[in-house]
Amino acid sequence: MLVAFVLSFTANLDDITRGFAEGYNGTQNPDTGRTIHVPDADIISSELSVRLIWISLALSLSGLLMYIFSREKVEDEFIRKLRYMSLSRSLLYSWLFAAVFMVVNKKTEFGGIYILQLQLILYVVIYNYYKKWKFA
Amino acid sequence: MKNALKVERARRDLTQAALAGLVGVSRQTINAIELGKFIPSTVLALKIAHVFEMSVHAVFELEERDWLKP
Repeated sequence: MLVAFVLSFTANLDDITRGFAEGYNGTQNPDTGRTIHVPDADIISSELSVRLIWISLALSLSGLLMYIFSREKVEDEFIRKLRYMSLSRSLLYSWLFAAVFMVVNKKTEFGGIYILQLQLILYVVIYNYYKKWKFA
Repeated sequence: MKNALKVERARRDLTQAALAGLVGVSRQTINAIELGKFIPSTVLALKIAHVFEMSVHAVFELEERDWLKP
């Protein structure tokens, strides 16, 4: 899952650098007075980017399946309750985050794959927080 | 719902893990019951009472506010 997260981040490296460059473009250098123009740096080709996103999606889905079918050493009623609670909270928080992100940042799309990855990460974090911290 | 799990466990010198092993649940489950964060199923409550050789009523006790819940 972590690999999937890193891959999707790498696939969008160009968009990230472009976002930083756009902030500088058109501004003036305070020392020279010249207008700054940062050239587009294509670190990753669009084909590779699409391929990385597909690999990332496949890994995310396999991570999801692994978590669905994974079992604890002792799988009892409380552990099942923790699973449901973690799942519902991860869904709620990820969709809330996605909604806030879409309202605040209208330019950038927060696609399904990223929502899925966020849900997975949140599920793991919340479940382990309950199991290893709150009820340890 | 109040419970006397901690007291009865201490009386018998049982750790949470040992009690969990005897009733076949995880240690976290026993901890959550003791903290009052989780209400066990009837089967689990009966198993715990059986291990303590007590009635369920002696281990688990309803509180006033439990009657107010729907």
